[in-house]
Amino acid sequence: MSDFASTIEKQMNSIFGDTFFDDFIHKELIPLSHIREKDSSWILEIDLPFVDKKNIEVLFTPHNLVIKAKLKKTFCISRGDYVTEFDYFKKVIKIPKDVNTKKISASFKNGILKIIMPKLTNGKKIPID
Amino acid sequence: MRKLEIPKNSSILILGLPGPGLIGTMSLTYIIHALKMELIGEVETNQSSIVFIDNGQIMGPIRIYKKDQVFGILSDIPIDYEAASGFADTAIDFAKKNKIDIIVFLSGIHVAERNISNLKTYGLVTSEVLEKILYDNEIPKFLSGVISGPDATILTYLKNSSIPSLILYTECNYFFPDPDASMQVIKTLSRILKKEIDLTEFKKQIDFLRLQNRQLMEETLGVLQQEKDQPTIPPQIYK
Repeated sequence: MSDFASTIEKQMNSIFGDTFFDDFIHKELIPLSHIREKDSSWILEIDLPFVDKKNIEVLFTPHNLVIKAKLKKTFCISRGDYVTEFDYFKKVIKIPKDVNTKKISASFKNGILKIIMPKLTNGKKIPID
Repeated sequence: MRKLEIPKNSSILILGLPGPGLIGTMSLTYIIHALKMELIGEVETNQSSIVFIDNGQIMGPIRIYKKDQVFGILSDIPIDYEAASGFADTAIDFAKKNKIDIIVFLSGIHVAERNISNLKTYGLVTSEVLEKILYDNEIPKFLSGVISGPDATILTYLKNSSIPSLILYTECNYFFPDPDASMQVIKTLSRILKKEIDLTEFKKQIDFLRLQNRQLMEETLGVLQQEKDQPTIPPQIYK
């Protein structure tokens, strides 16, 4: 590993936070994600570095999206003599209530998985007086 | 705006802290590495809940580096709204004591559908004399928009300081570590500093940086989010 990478690793490995603790408990890396609401849809983005499109699995359950992705190579975090190896990203994300689940679509570009969840537009008609 | 003369071999202080896309931290970390800048001190902070240990030496999270006429203040912790004024005050005080001619502050602006092969850096200056730097380096001016959160506090201090400041805003992904935007910042700074910075090593680390910086990005968003809920435009009371 280069000096630069080693400096970064030393610095970042010193930070203990919720994400890293979860990573260690489940032995899976938790990717960063962001969801934003638009007029007609929800857009969910998940940051998946070190991942090929073919190795991404998106599962849809009644209430959640489960994203699992295999890393191109094993990622190691060392603390002293102890080394933990990670091969996967995994994240479970609750689906917003008003989503048209039949029209969910996904794309992957520049290491970011983008899931578009259109909102339901059918409903009860309200008469206008 | 003040009219000042900038000396030919200007001394420059670069400020890099965690913000949108972590581009300030990532770009300054690489510049420090590439230019082989030396650690010359630390900024004392009560806010820090972490220290770094490197080769048995305890290092604070906000450090000062130097090489020739280039200085850098790098923070590895997000600076929240309360700490922003203290940070800006300290940086300006340091700049005055070290006869800094220009302060350069690095930050990012969110662009949802950004083209990573053609990212733009916009510049804001606090003194007319720095307009030439923008022109010479083909940096478009940041013409309009609203800046909020800790950045706004730091900008206010820089604006009121006697030292001319250049603020570089680069298009980035606000929510994820963005090494591509960081590279754009490094390229722009390389032109301003007139120092060639080889990006080969940085390019090899792009995925690694995104992976390693997840925690810092989360913490940074937590700090930026505190301010996001507040109104960015004050209500008009009298009109």
